[in-house]
Amino acid sequence: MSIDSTINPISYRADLIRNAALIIWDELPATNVAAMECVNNICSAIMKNDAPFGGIRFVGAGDFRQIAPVTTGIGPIPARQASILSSTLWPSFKVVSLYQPYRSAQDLDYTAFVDQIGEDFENQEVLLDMLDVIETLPEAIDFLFPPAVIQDPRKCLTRAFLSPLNRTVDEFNKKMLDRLIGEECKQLCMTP
Amino acid sequence: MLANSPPWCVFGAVISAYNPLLTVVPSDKAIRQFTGGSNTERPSASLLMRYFHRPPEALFDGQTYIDYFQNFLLYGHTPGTLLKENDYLEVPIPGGIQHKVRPRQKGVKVARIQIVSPTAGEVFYLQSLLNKRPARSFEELRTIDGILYSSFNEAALRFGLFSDQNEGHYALSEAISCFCTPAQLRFLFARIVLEGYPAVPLWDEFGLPLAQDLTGTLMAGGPERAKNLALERISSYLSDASRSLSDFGLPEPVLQTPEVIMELCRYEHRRGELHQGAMSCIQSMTPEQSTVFSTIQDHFALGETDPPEVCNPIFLEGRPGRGKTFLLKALAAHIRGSGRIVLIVASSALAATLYEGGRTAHNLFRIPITEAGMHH
Repeated sequence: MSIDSTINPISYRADLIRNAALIIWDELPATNVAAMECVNNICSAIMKNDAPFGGIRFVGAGDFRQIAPVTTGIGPIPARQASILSSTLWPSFKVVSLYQPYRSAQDLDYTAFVDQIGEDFENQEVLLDMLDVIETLPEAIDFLFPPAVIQDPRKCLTRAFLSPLNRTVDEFNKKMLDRLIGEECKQLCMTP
Repeated sequence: MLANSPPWCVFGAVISAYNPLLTVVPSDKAIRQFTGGSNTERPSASLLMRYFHRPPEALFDGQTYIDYFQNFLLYGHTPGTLLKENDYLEVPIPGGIQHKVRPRQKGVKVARIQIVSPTAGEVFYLQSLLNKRPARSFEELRTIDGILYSSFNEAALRFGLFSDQNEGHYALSEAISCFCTPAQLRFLFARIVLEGYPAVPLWDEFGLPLAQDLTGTLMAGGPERAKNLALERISSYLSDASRSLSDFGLPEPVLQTPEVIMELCRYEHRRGELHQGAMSCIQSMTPEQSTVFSTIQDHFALGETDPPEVCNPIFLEGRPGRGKTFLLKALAAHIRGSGRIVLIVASSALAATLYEGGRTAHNLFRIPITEAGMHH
């Protein structure tokens, strides 16, 4: 299954890509293999070069222990099939690794705890004893969006609920909207 | 003697007398083709090529183009025949006939180079140099005090044939002090250059005022790009007179499309700051991070403009908090600080917001969102 970029190889966007000294793609493992191959194809078409990414310097980054691509199927097999690891392009990647903790180098226990998550999701259970646990949704809202935060739209932008399922997102959103202070108004805009 | 030969070119000769003979050394099409740069491009060999290939003996070193044809006679040489005393052999010109060269024994000959109008630009400066300097190649002619100049115009100036302070300078200065608009200045500049004043020093001095109105526009950005746009407009004035920028030794503008310009403009005014930022990041890296950083740099030959012939992609892996983002940010700032383009994308909008100028891959590469993209 392949998808095609809608970029015309003779266009301003194509010219931008042609002039790139480097392309960086973060969280690449969360991408569906078809999307990465789509980018590879359009780069090759623009550069008229069959080398990976048309010979443009390309750095992908990420952690395969983290979020896998969204799939319609459930379980490790569809996840593996949708992963960039199943791309014919993957063997051409030169893999470089960072091992040493950096962000939480002062707290090695916490680092070890985070590392444990996602290490081997079939056989291992990780105790979430290093995290604060909140039982109910109202409590969570009070914790994440206390009144001081709700009154400041900028602060609100820096926080978010993460939900594993799309259907609970609407429920969260409704509860949050109910808490907002002030008058409701609709802004209409035109998008091209 | 030719009817159109002006008297000043036969200085020292009695004009009314039958002697001396006057030779017009052509600065003909052969010279006009000099931009090709190769001395061997025309094997049929114009007189100028013959001059460049004059015999290698020291006797010929100090002879200018004119001296050479005044003082020596050229005869066809049949290979294998013996040379007389005082005969010298030309440096062979590939595909051309070799001549023997003999000092003129009797009579006087006056040579001059065919007149080239100052409006001819580079050819004019070439002719001026040929008048004054002995040389054996175009490159040697353009080399003054050991420095090879890219244009005859510049070389002639360095050689001191023309004064830097010319009327063109005064005309432009005066126009600026009279508050002429940059657009008017560009037109004036084109006219001055077409009149034959050295273009390069004028451009070096007035490039910025000539581009002043273009620095502020969205399409322009920094001064360098504005000068680029100014050159583009000057080029169109010159082309009205069937001339081009290169005729006058001026640089060709680098044409860029809007998205490239927008991207470059975002960072152009902060290049120093980005470079500083990248440097301090690089200094604060752990040994592991800086090893990975230089691995990436070397793998991609990032110091070069073009990527290496074989340029496999890199995957930077690491668990949370190992400094992937930190390293990539330093990499991006480093390249942007050198005035080049880095496109940063991420799989999700949230990850994209971590980077300056980051977007989703779907947005930048216009990946259609289809249900099918998730199926296999």
